[in-house]
Amino acid sequence: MIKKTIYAAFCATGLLAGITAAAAQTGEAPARTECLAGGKPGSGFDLSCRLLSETLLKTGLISSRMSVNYMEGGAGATVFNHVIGVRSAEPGLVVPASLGTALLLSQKKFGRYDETNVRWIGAIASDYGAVAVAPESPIKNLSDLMAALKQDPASVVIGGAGTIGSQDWMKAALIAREAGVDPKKLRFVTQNGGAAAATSVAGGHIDVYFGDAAELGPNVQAGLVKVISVLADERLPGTLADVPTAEEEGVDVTWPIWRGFYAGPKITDAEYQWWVEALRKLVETPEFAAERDRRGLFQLVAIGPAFDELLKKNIENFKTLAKEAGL
Amino acid sequence: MGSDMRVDRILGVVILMVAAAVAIGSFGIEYSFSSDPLGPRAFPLALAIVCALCALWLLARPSLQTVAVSPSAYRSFGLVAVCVISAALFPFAGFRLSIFLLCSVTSWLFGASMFKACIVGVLNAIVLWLAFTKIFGIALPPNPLLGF
Amino acid sequence: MSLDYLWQGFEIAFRFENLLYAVVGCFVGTLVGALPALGPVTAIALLLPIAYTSNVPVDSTLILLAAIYYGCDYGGRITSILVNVPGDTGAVVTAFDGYPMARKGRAKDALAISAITSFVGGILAVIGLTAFAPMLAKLAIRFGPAEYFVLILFAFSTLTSFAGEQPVKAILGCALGSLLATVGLDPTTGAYRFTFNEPQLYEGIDMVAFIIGLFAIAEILLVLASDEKRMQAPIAYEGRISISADEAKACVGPTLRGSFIGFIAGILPGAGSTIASMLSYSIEKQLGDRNGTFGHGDIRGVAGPEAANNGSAGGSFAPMLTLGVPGSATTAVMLGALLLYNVQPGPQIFITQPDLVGALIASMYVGNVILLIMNLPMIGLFVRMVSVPNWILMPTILALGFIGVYSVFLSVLSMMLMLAIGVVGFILRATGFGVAPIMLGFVLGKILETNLRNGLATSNGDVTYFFSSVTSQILWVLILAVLVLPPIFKWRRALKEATARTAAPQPEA
Repeated sequence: MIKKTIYAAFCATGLLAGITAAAAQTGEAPARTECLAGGKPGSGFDLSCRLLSETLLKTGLISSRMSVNYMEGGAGATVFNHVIGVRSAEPGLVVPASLGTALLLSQKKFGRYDETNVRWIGAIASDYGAVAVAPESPIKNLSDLMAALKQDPASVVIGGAGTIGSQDWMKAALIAREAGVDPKKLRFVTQNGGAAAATSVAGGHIDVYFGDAAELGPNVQAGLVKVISVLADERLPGTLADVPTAEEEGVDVTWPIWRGFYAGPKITDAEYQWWVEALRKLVETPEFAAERDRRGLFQLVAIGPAFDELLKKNIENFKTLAKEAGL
Repeated sequence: MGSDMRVDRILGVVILMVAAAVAIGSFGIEYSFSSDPLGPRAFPLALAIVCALCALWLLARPSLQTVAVSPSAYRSFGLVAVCVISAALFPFAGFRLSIFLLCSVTSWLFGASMFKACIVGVLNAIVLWLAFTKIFGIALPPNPLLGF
Repeated sequence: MSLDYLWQGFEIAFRFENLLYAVVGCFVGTLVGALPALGPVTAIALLLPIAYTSNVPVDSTLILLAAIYYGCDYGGRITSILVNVPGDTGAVVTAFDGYPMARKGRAKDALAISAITSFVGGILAVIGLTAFAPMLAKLAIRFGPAEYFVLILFAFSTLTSFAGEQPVKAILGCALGSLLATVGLDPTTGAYRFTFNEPQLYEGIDMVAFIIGLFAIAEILLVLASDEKRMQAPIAYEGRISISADEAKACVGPTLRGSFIGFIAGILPGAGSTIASMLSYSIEKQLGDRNGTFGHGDIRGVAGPEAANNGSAGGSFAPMLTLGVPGSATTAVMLGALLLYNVQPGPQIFITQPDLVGALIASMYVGNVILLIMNLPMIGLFVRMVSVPNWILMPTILALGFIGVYSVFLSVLSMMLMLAIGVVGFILRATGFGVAPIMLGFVLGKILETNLRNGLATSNGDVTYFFSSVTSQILWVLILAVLVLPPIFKWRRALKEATARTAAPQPEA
């Protein structure tokens, strides 16, 4: 009983304090909704929260604004543990996740819990991996890059905003594997964020940058870099419409950086179902599509069981790749 | 007033131990492979060596640095204790209660009377709570037992 | 380049409602900047969605955000100077000499000089932005691991000037600071270093927790442990602003150099305001610290870094607008805002989006003027706010520190970490360590390591890589100058004094 009061109290921040203890009834919207981002304001997780908060209200799926709060630490590890350990039964609470979350889960970097400890609601948008070079680079397309790697893996300096084993490295490793090159032999140079990576590739400090389409868009527009390939199933709309997908060059590598949400493990099935239905309705609305596009994100929908499946597949792939690469 | 003591030697010994711990710890850093020849162990190890050399220097040629231990230095221990207690109580007693405890005891340690100290505690708890939750919209923990 | 866009921009910025937004933004920014719990990124990220959903016009939104950004840089120094708790990371260096000035009863002077140099740094950076933005943005591209490595090494080489009477403690403090910064994820291999399997430590020791611990907690402990009289005496804040003509003259050089350093560091995506102010401080100490006054309330130690801090804010707009590359976390959020309103950055942005960019840049001129006008008369108010007995002031500082750390992590562990750093900082400071070398190590150590290793990875272990570009060669020469010239000057001065002494009695004889 006391424990339950503590849960309730924890979420009872802001004006609606106290009301939360009254649990949502079956099929009805939770009395109070909250999105708890595992990063700073302005981070990718925050972006997901804002998108959801904005569009749920605009489309009338919830009647009062969803609050957005922050809990930084371990790229989402802290909030993951917090939701499982402390706020596990709150019907109104969702936490944003992305492909990076799946990667960290596969590497067991979230502590003692794994993906089965939370309830995955759905992914509603996506960014895609993209390969960038300097505008005057001799590497004109993915095939050039793979040929160069095949000849001498050490001849290409690869940059990414992350460590060995991070998303950007994984993209490079997948391309290397397709070229029959041992990912361990890649010359991978860490960049201090996407902005630094884009300037480094433009300045010739690195030859290739494995980044994300949304972030590279403005850089392409500014003529700073050239994107030679997008790691998506189809060509992306907007700035990068002329850039071929990897598949067009016969390379079977996609890298959808989905943006999804999970909830605490102890919410009821009815409460879980409400979220699933809400997201299903949301992604169909033109308001949602407009807001998603404005934030530079692309279409990707995997809700309920489909999301579970996507996540399991992601994690499995990462585990295989990590084993192959000798991580 | 107070007794003076030569501190550089004690400092040297402590830092030497820290350096040893860091050196041992840096050998224990696990990684699979690295693109650069140095890897993640070299830098902390180098720093540990620098620390150790400096510590040896302190031991060999301690400065005349002294620490004046004033008779009222025990207050610092009191402050550390109340800080630790209030921090630990944060999620359980809530923001306002912990801040009240923290501020009133600190105020008392700085020489305020009990009554004045309590006022300082109450004012800080209420004003900061209102400012941060209502104006800046930052989530601070409420008191679970009172429910607000 | 035609400046038509700028005149158009001034027209927009001078509209009544936009002036109002600028004033509000400046005020909010100053407040948010002064509180260690809040920074410009948080404020802008929180306000942007509100502005966006409540249909505030684009130009007004951008003016509001820019004003907040600028206001924060003005606000951070206030708490640095008055209570030794830097309001944001760019204002850390201001505390080195600003707080000692306050303790000597010169709080008003420190606040005044820092407001003025902030203004100069801010305005010079905006002029630089207006005149050279597309050209200078190219500089950002030139900087690779080699250049960053040598730049940071340059900042470290000025450490020799921090030495004072106990050089070994300066080196030791710097090494300890660097060591604390290695905690967390190794940016290259992804290995966890000294994290003890605690997810909270995966991203390292947070700057906010570190600053609050090292400055605020340690300071309060020091005051408490000192004798009864000092413990109870409030800082003597009273008195008028009294900056002598000589002091004002002495500040001109540091301010101009600081503005330039800040502007350049702002342009580099790997640098930013903290590095800018640290570089400025080290250089001024190297150039001007003849009598060891730096760190004990030297007005030049406040002037230079504050100019650099605000200069970097202006500089960071150049690569964001022309390359789509944000030079700081705050400009990253602002870039998001621009994109939200369909403004595409690029070298042509001054031609394709003249009204918006014009309004943004014009608002920076206006914002700086507003901030100066707002800040100078407020000095008395700020000073009065902290001119209370310690038994009122200290609990509040402590509470603000707790909120600052808790609001970022929502965890008890982070608060304990802050306390632990505070206790260690207290011990180190009580035994003769300076804050500056520790801070220098904590901020720059990791950047030095990353760029060294990145450079070696790029060049396949070839060390000559770090000497290969003109930029890095220039920086190497500067390092050499910093290490070699001061001893030579010292020797020459000693020689002169010696000859003067032997020469003096002769006429009498």
